Amino acid sequence: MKTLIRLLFSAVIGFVVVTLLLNGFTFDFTKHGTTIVVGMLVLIIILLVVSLVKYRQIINLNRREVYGDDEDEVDVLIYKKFTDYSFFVQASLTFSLLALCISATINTTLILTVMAMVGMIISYLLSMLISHLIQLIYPERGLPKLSEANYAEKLLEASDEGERHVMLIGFYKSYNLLTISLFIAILLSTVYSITSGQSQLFSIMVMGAVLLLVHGKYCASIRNK
Amino acid sequence: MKSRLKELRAREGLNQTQLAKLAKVSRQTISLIEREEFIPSLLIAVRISRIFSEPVENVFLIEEDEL
Repeated sequence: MKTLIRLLFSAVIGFVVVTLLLNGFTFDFTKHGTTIVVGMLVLIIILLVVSLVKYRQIINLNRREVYGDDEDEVDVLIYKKFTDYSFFVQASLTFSLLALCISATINTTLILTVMAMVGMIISYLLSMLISHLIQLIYPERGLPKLSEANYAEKLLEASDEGERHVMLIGFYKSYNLLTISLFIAILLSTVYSITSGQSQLFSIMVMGAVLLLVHGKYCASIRNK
Repeated sequence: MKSRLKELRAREGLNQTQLAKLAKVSRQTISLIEREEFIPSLLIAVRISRIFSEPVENVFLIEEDEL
């Protein structure tokens, strides 16, 4: 049933895209740059507010003294909220970068560029709190600090086999998604270049290089094991 | 592979967090083993079995077709 829904969904998207292209549809992003940046800034504000709310909730949950099954339930809740917090902060950091790049590329007002920059700084500061939160939630685990060298490797070493199993599944799914997404992104950029007359050649080449790099790194990692 | 972790935890009056601390693993790992989503290493299996003072094969149940 899932496969059928996916096929149907893909067919609808394909039909819409082809119909739009056959009718000479083009979307000039440069004309709508300001609207896109404003939209992203609104999104960044929402994401930052939600992140701060999650942060407060984690701190409050961590302070609660619970026993028995409630202790497990609170731990599950903290873990979920912490994952949400990480996602929202990373998302706001990404949108800030996009807003900053778009406002720098297209002639928007200076205030939008400054706001994107402020959003990026706040997002970066909140991302720093991720490490602080881990230390706060699991003080007995001896997890590395963000400032430590080889932070990612040390964090992986400090994780137990169950956590690594969960991470492996997550990473492998992300790797597959990244491969497919980059492939589709290259195709979309090519179609956009042809229909709009604005060459996206540089982006296409960069995406291709990233695709090769990601594949190469993965193959090199598993090749000699 | 099935496990009797939940039943044995209840017998000993331990929650997942307490068992995880005793077994020197995360609560997430205990939860994964209980939900049969992860097969622990021999080291962790023995560690958990010792907490319940049970032989490994009494805690982790391996069916014949899995062998």
